[in-house]
Amino acid sequence: MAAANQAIPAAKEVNSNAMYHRRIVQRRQITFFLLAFPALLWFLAFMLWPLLNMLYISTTLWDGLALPQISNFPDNFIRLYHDPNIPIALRNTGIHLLFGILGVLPFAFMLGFFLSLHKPGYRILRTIFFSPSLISVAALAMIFLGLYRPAGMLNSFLNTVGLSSLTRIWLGNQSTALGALIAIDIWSGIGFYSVLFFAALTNIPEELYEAAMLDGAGYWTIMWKIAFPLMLDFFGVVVILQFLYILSGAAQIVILLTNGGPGTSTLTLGYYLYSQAFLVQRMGYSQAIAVVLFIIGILVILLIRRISFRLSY
Amino acid sequence: MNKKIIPISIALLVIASLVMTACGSPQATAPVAATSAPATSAPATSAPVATSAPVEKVTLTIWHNWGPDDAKGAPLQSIFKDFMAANPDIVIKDEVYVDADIPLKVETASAANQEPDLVFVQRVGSPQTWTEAGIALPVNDLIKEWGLDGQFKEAALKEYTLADGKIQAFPLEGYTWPIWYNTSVFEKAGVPIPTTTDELIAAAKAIRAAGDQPIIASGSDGMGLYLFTLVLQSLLPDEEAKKCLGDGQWTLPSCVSAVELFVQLRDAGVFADNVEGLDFATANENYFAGNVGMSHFGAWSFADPPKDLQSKIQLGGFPLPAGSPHRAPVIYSSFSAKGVWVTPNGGAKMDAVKKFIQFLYKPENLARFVEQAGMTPPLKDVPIDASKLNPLFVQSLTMPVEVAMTPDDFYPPKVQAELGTGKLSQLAFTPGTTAEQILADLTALYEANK
Repeated sequence: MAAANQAIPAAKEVNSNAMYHRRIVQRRQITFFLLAFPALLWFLAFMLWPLLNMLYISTTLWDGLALPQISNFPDNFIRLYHDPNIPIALRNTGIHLLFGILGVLPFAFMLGFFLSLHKPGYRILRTIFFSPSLISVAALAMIFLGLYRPAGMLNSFLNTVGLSSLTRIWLGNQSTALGALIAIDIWSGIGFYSVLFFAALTNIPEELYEAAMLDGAGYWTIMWKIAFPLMLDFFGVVVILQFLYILSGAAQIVILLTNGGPGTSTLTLGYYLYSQAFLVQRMGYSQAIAVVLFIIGILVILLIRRISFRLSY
Repeated sequence: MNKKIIPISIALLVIASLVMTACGSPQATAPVAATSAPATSAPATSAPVATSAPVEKVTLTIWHNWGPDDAKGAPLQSIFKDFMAANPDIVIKDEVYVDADIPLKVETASAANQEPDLVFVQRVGSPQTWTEAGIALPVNDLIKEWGLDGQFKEAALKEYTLADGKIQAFPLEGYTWPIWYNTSVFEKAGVPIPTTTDELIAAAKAIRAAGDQPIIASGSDGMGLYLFTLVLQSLLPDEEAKKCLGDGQWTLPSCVSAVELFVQLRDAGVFADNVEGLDFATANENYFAGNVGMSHFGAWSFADPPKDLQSKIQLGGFPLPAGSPHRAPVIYSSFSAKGVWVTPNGGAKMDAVKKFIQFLYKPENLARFVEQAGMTPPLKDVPIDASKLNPLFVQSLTMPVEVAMTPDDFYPPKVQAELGTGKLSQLAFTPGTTAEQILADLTALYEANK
């Protein structure tokens, strides 16, 4: 009994401690919520709401800003399934993604690694590599229009070196137009990503490289056997960035240079979305394409994250 | 505490007065005295004389694409200037945009009730839906009430009249769209101006042999499409052309034959080298350089060629193939190039809009566009000083041609929007593209835009 009497104050103490601890936790949660609330509100208003709106519009017939939205679910998605342009756009987008990622990131990584070695002149090179990123898309399009036009720099160069048989209307030829656009993305992307890789690679302790060199490893081995495995997680993030850019952002250069042509040779999903929304004014259908892009985006990001996580750990 | 009340009160008063001042001066209108009394008419200390009430200045906002680089820009500005001088209570605020950008700008502005009062834009693409969508007001009654009834050419009004009888806009700019033959290139090649496609093929060979190029076109943009369709229509009567270009029945033998004709001509070398990669500006530049035999430019370019070239140009139609239903080489001619659309915002200022429209459509004012820019006027009677006319415009009045119906009149709007990007014409002008490929692309395009 006495022991029980002694236990009561102890239990009370435990209870009051627990309550005090709970109150602290609750207060922290309220503070956390109050501090996060503006950001949450911002996210709901400007991210989630437009996303839900996109889903809603994809279920409507909306043929112009001034015309009413009429619910027509699932017509837009049935149309999407039967649209002969969708397989073409998917194929072109796939080619663009394949070459736009494989043609940029390995080379960007190599350049970034080279910069991270801090060899003489690396500061100037870093600035030079990054400079294409400072050029606006419209200016970039003008530069390459000058390069690719019938009497442009590329054809003039080929003529000068006696390779006239290789001259083409690079943007007007069905077999070269998509490649010509991908080349622009490669040119402008390598420098940008090399600077990103450089920034990340500088976090790797130099001692690791020195130890590897003592063991007889060359730069090539160090780059791919030491630096690259340590950067896999970051590499995954960069792949996601480049993937998202090509999936939707690269449509800008298509709009400026080829409008998806000649024929459908440069028709990508991103450009098709734009053309359906702003040229043909089929807003509801364009958002159905946007939903497909969104789903592809989410699935591929999850896949990339999974692969990079597995390889890293 | 009391010491603080005074400065705070003063500060609040100042802020309140500033706010009230700001609210009391709207941006669009500014009160001005209609007449100003002479300085000596009243002593400085006396109250203002109420001889006339202040008049609200009305601002008319007009969006158009006739900027300084356009031959119609100068006459338009002179009309604005003269109108404002004659109507001091109305201010014209004009904004110049690229023609192709205007429809979307108007539609987005309209969604926010911020559209201009008047829009000068071509009757091609989405403006054709504006009356139905309430972005523009029908002008049937305005034409009657404002004394313009019976003055417009019937063809002009017909183009702007919808199936339900509503007139979408006031027609403003008509055009002819002929083939421009550079006679010096033909003389150098020793061949006559062709009137048949066989003669055209022979002429193209001779022109190439002489070191020049035959027909230049902007194969990579929407303008080249009109040459593609004109070639097709040289073999098709309007009703058949409507079946192909309007209804998308590309499996019809007549439609197939027309596309095959185009491919046959292209493969025979009648179009200049690399034409599939050229845009309109580059095509212009090449033709005006003087070593190209033919081009397909509209009346809007009449003022553009260098003077030494102008005298060498002979206007005509596209040569006819064997079996053509036409009696003479074909051209396009239409009034779709520019209409004046009245928006709901313009409707709220109808008095000012009425004054401006009546001023713009005075025959002597329209004559400025004809004389200075070679524009085909939409009115029946426009007094023109023949000595001031552009020689190419004069030539265009007597061309031995037949007018084919412009495909703009029967394209489904969504097909037209996609074709306007030029990707189909670019494909068609590319050497090696077969008629089957072009027909398949056209079929897919029409199917996708049903």
